[in-house]
Amino acid sequence: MNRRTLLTTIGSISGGAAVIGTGAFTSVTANRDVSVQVTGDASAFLRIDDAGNANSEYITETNGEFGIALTSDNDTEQGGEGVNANSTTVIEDLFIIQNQGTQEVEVGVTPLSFVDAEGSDTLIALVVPQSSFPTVTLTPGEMETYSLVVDSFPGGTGLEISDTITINGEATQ
Amino acid sequence: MTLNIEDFVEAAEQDGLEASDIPPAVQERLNNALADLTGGDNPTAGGDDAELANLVVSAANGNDDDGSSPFATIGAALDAASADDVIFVEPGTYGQSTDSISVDKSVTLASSDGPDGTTVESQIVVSADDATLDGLTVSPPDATCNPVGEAVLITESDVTVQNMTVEDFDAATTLDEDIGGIVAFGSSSTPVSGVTIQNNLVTDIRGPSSYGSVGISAQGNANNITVTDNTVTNIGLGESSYAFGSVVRGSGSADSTPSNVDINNNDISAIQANTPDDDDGTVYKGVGLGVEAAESAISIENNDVDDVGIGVEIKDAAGETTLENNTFTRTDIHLGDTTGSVTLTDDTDSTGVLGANDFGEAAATANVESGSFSPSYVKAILTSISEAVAESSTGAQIDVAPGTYNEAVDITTEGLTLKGPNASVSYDGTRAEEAEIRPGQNTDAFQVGADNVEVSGFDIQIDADSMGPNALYVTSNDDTVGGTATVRNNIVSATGNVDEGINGIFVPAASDGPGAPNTVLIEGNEFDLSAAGDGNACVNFTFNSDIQDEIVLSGNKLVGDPGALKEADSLTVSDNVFEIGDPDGLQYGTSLDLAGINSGSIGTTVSNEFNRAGAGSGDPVIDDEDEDFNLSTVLGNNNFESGAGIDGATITFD
Repeated sequence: MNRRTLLTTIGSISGGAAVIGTGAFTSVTANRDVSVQVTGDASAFLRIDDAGNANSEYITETNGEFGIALTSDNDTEQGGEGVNANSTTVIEDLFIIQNQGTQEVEVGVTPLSFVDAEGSDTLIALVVPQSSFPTVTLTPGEMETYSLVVDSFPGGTGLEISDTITINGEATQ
Repeated sequence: MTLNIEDFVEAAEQDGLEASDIPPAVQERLNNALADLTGGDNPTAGGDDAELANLVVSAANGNDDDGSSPFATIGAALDAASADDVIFVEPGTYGQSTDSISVDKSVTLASSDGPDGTTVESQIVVSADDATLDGLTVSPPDATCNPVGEAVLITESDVTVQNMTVEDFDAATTLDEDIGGIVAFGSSSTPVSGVTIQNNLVTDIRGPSSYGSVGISAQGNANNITVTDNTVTNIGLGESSYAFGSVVRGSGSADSTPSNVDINNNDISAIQANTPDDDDGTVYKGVGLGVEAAESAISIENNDVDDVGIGVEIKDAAGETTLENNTFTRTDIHLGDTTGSVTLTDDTDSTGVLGANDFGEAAATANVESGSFSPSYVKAILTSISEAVAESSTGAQIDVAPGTYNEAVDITTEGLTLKGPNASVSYDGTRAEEAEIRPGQNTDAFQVGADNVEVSGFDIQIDADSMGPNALYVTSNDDTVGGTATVRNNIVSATGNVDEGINGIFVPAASDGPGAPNTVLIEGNEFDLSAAGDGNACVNFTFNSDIQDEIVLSGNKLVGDPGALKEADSLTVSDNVFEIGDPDGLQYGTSLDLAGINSGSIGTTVSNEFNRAGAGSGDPVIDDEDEDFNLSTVLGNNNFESGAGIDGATITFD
């Protein structure tokens, strides 16, 4: 079976935020020109990008690498710096993953949940795919939209999730 | 696709989101949010029907009548539970009985809102594998004999106890056994392993007056026990016979003792037994960390121990115990070792416990005088040099940690070797952080009144506003001449305003008072008392001459007034740097005085440097008042800054 793997990396999720970087490659046999280019997540074979809506403010891009930041380091134009304590915050249609390659791929995001606890205070973040769980199969050109659900209880002030997620795209055949 | 929180728990890898992380109320709102997002109009979970919150115990809203959740009591919920269930306990008070709660199923018993306000007033016995206690306050009534003396007792394997508050647990007057906060106990027939005790607060545990109090322990046939990130405080409360913050120990009902126990990142404080002080030593003080097990692989690392009688007590398994990166403050005794096998220091200090932990001011003695303590320690790390000296037997080595020691050290025990952090580093070498000896004003730093004593590697500073004090006052056991005194690799200085009359080393004669050492080795030191006045002597042998067999003054730096040497069968002065101070206005000047010396080697083997440090042309460098010494040889064998010449019985700078 001729399988190709697009393995993206990894950044940090901070206060309910994820950073994802990626590279892409192609290869040919000898006596052909070889051209490999690394590009930003938004234009890679496995595109990782904001969903093009108002929630794009929560998305960061550093050196072409995608990230999510709901923190004071990425405060909103209106001055928001984080989620509320003892509440559920839903950020709908936060980012997308699109297959810009040439084959059908199965895309997995791991982990899909994050938790940080200090005593009884807990902060949970869920990465919620729109159409398929936990993985999604994307034909060339198809995309999956992801939302974020963050819950802090009963207090949670001072808690912070700073973690990484991995997005894996693997050709199905 | 309709998602609920259970989907995420199932998808989470190990160490990811767990059911017990999410109280029912939070599950409900998360499920509502997920339903909205994923198009579900029929959420699969929510409220009391939440799939993850298998069972709920609610003092306010539950009842035990129909056998369904929410229950009113934890016992009823446990009866109804199946393996792997999560039982959430809502705020309220539960138990209220001398009967214990037995967690005898592989379930998670967790508070929904944390330990504050969710109180179990019963002892809890965890007697099922893979059970978890999470986030409850446990405050049982006074223990009688039902079931035993532990607030939380773990008797099976793979149990986790976390985020708990265990508090206010006393012994009834009739109880004849120890009281414990959280105890993992394995018997001969039922060993325990894989127990994790983490992030708990254990406080106010008070055992009987004739027995003990224990915060957290691994006891008996227990192995692979992890005790981490706990706060243990107020154990013993000054009323039980002995007390431990955390202890690894055996049991009469177990055929083996714990092994593979990790005690790390815990805060342990206020461990107090009922006999905190005793004039004849120390009797069963409260112990922060105790090791009494003869098995293997005990790791005690990164713990903070404060305000306890004995920081760590090793009664067994010394060679199998790792003790590193712990901090000890406000202890009466930092470490007591009844085995004699604890490595206090080594050549690199990489494995010695003195260097591998932060004791603050600490002096480690490798030979404790018998009967000094009860139990009888062979080795100990004490909080002052004086105490280590007082409790050491003849011939002991005392290693001193870096720090500031505001004490005067009186040594009357023969053969002691006192080593500061720079015992092997000369004054001009690359020295480690110093052990600074700072006695009170007009006080000797070290008074040596015993034969064969070595004082090496310290930073000694005396403070004087009148004549008399010495950095080292060196005599012998009695009024005889005997033994060897060694003063090596020290930095000696002074503050105050005394032109002359204080000394770096003062060695009196035997016949006029206390005895004197027969051999005196002064090597690798820096003496600079000039901050208190140029005329203060670096080295001062006084009174009668001809009492020592050997004096060696080698490799030192002497600033101001070098002082006076006396006759010895062998006198060697070599490889020193003399910085001669300004003699103006001083009664005894600033020269090296050789009165009473007929012969000796001054610069014969290795030359000395005599430099001006305030002395001017014509000022004396070496003075031989009785004109017995061959100064021409001295002049030829040593180096004098800007030259020197002999003027009668004196060598002077050109």
